[in-house]
Amino acid sequence: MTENNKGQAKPRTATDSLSILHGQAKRLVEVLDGIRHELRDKSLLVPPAELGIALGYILSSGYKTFRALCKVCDVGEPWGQQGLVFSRMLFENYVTARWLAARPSERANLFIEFSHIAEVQSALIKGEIDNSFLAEGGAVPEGKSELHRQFFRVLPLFRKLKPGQGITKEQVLRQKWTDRFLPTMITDLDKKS
Amino acid sequence: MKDYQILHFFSSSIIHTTPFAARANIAGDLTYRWTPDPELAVEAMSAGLEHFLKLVLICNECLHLGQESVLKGFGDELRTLHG
Repeated sequence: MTENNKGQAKPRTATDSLSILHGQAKRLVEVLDGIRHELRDKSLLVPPAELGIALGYILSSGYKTFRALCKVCDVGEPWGQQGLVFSRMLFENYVTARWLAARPSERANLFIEFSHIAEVQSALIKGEIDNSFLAEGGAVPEGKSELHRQFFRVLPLFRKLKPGQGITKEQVLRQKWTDRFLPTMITDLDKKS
Repeated sequence: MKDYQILHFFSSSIIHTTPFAARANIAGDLTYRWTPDPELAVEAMSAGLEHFLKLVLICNECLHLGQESVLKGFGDELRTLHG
């Protein structure tokens, strides 16, 4: 509630609330702006380094999403429905960070190693490689031999992708780094608390 | 974090992102709102602030960023604002 010029309480409008929230958001962004350069270097130094890299990535991604949320929910023209989409993404970042931090030595490494799978997914979508790339002795396009080597190195880490069993393009494209959906991650966290 | 807290956040996020059409009275109102929506924006901003703050808190703890007192202040303010 706020007070008008006669000292009477009047209900806070959505625009009032939005202005207050934007004030808080601005200050939180300032805190992160103050440490993000330090974080970029420090993330490689904090043991275990993998956790620093993985959390640093999630935090930077969350930071950008949060900045986007503030823009979409601008006081002058607030598109709330789309803002809620960004809000859900932040929730997913938060749960992922918690899940990762619960068993950092195992999960942070998984997060980082998945980058090779993600690169293969991207190359498959762009048509730079095809099914033959997914066979151990298959044809590898020029410039992709290192990716091919890394792909088969990290493959055993991901449950659904077992080498030697034949891997399809669809299996690779469906693969997630956690092999879990968000509700499964939440259930995992709940078991530990 | 307790189960109910996680489930609360999860379920509220789902509700937040349910398509507007599903939340409207479809039988009586197909007008939708092709305009900015300050009320939903307040929901989005307050939920987003809360989720992001929690993310920052975890990162602060694990990466030793040293922002405990500042972040605690934000948490207290948010609780005051939303009861």
